[in-house]
Amino acid sequence: MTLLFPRLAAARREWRGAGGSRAVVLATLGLAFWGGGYAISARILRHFVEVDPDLGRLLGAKLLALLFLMILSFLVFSNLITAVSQCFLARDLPVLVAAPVSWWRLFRLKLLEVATLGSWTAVFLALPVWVAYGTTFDAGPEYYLALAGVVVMIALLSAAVGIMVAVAVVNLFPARRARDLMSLAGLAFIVGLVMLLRVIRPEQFVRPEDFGTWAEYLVSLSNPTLPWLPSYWASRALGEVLGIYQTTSWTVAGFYLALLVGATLLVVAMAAGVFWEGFRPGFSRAQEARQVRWTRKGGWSGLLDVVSRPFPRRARAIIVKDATTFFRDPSQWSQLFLLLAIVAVYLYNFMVLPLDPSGGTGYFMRNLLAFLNVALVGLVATALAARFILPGVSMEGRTLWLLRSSPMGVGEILWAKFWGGLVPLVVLAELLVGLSNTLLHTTPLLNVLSIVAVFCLSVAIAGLAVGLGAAYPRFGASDGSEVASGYAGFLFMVLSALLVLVSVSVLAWPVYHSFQATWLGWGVGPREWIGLGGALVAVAAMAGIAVYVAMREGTRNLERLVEG
Amino acid sequence: MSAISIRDLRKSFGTFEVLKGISLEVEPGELYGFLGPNGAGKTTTIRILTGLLLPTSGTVEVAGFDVRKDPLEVKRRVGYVPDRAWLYEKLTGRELLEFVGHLYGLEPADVKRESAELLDLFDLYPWVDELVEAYSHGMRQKLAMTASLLHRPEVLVIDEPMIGLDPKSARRMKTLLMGLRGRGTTVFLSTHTLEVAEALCTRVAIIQRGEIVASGTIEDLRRESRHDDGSLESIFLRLTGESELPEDAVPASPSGDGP
Repeated sequence: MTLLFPRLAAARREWRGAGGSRAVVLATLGLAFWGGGYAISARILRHFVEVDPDLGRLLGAKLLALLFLMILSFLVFSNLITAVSQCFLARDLPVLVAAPVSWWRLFRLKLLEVATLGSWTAVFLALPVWVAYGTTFDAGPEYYLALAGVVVMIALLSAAVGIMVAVAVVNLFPARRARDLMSLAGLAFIVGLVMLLRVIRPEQFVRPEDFGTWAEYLVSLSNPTLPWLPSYWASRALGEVLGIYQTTSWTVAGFYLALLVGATLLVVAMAAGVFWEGFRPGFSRAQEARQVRWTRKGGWSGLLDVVSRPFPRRARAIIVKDATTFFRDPSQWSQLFLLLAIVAVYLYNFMVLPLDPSGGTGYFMRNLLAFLNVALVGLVATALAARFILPGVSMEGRTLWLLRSSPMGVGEILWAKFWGGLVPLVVLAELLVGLSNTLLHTTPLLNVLSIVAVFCLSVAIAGLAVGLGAAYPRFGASDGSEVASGYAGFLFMVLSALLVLVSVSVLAWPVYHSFQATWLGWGVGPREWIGLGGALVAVAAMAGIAVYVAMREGTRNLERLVEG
Repeated sequence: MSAISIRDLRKSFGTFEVLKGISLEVEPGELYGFLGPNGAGKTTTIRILTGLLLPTSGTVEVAGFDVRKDPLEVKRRVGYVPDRAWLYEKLTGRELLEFVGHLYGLEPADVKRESAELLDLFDLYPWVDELVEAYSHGMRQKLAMTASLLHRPEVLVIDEPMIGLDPKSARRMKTLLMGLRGRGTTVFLSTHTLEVAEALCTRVAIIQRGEIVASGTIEDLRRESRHDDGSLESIFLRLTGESELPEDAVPASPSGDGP
């Protein structure tokens, strides 16, 4: 507790400083999210059970197993990244390591920190689904108790794996190669994710017609999903407590719970051993300065020079500085691997969609998906901006004096951050929408429309991210993910998602009419063109307003800092 | 026209008044020392001079420009070195200088020319292509000093210039500051190192609890403190009402019996 005190005190101070309105906003948004997530999950589960109780239960059990598998894989990756930053890069480490703190206390502190910081997002997102299982299958308090235990075990297990791998790899590879470590983790994650998708083939469960017989489908549903993984033990134990397999077998539930607890204790003990052996040498190596590599001169600076050329000199200096420091910090750029994995899975989904390219339904579905894809790309861009653009001002932290004492206005600084974030975001979002459209063989009209809409959304998202990042900065944050998971990140995610959804809703009606006209052979007439043009102007106007308001708020807040 | 003109400057943080109406004038080409105990208001004054904070009331002009009305004009003419120079860890020394140079509108060739002599003076050349994260505290201070002088400021504001410097670098820093004064740059430095102030400064001001308790040349201060042959340290202690720590104030060792 003593070692946790500074962190707890800082968190308490942040909440107090935030004021009542922020707490109300957070609570409302959180409840709305949970309520929505719960309603949707409960509706789906009830639908399964109502259509066919036996099949519904089997599907429910299968989905629970898949949910835990996804959570476990996410937690292992997230805890590995968190373990590297908490065990080797955190700011409190020099003080802790210099203090007479035993390795065992330090290990317990780090285990708790990694488990909490690396797992809370996944638990927050999954909670409404778990509760929906409870209400659909009329669970008693024992389900929620078992759920709490299972979640704690999975979080501890993932944190222990994260710490073990982080310490081992930092020692295996001289730790000045922190980037090697991170790239290794990133690559391992991508390979793991792709393999996982291939092994599970989730798409088959909603296509019973692909199976030879109905019996084969049922057998496939009944088969355990990767039974040697703790995720299966967790889902099986909870399933038994829920009575999802018709009857509640306390013996089976107890067996799988014991398996999970035993495995967690074993992995924690192993992690403690690895930590005891490897933490100090690893920490020592992590202090060494890293050599400047490919980001030093030549191709890199040439590329940055070309990309930043259209901007004024001072904005250009900030863009080049931000890009250079970003790619030299493994804790920052390694998360790009996560992004690549998401993009790969995203595009892969379009490739395996069972859509007949020639049929009428196929035509309709393809274009519907391409339209909805605008919203999806907007949400992906939101997630990216939350992690990579939003923390820009906060990450200046203690170096902000360099910018603020220079002859650059606050607005100029923020616009430089905006352009630096917008360019890669637009390139990525347009690439994503372009590739998806190509895979879906969409019509040229929808192609152009989605490209323009995604451009407007990217501008709005970049502006919101920079503006809100400056309006609610966290100068003490040790890395960007800490900012993204704070109040600014939460507010940004909600506002940005709202903007994306409203924009897509505005476009929906004219797009629908245009397709109806095409489908009925009337062709797109002036009325449809006016509708489409008007909707795009409205989307662009909303984007402009979002950028203006967010940047104004950001500028005002940074200027208030000068007021003292 | 004064290089720095402060009139009735007040600064409050909430209900706490840090600066209680201070006034001072620094002439062009002066090396002005700003002394005071911890928490007296030195850094707050410096942050106002450099545009990092706005005054609550009063007037502050630097190089003829009001910090409130023309903050960017002030910043164009001021170089600033904080007491603890946080720099971008993932840039090399050279890149950091180029970055700062660009912020002040300098061409890369200007940055190279202006920084060459200073990097050499501070023995930073062998390190200039290493990441800043490999620099010691003193090296960072020297790099920050180099960066602050790139645009040839009319006024240089330094908070604790000697902190973290080894004796050789400290000597060179003194030489540099004298040289800057020689070329007409006004230097406003805050320091705890009274020997530095005594050796370098043309005039000094002593601030305590947000008020200036004395200002002038060292001779003026001696007269004012009625301490004709005293060192600046004893004058400082007398003017700030600080007395030397009594011997029995040293805490006992944990075991109570000492070495």
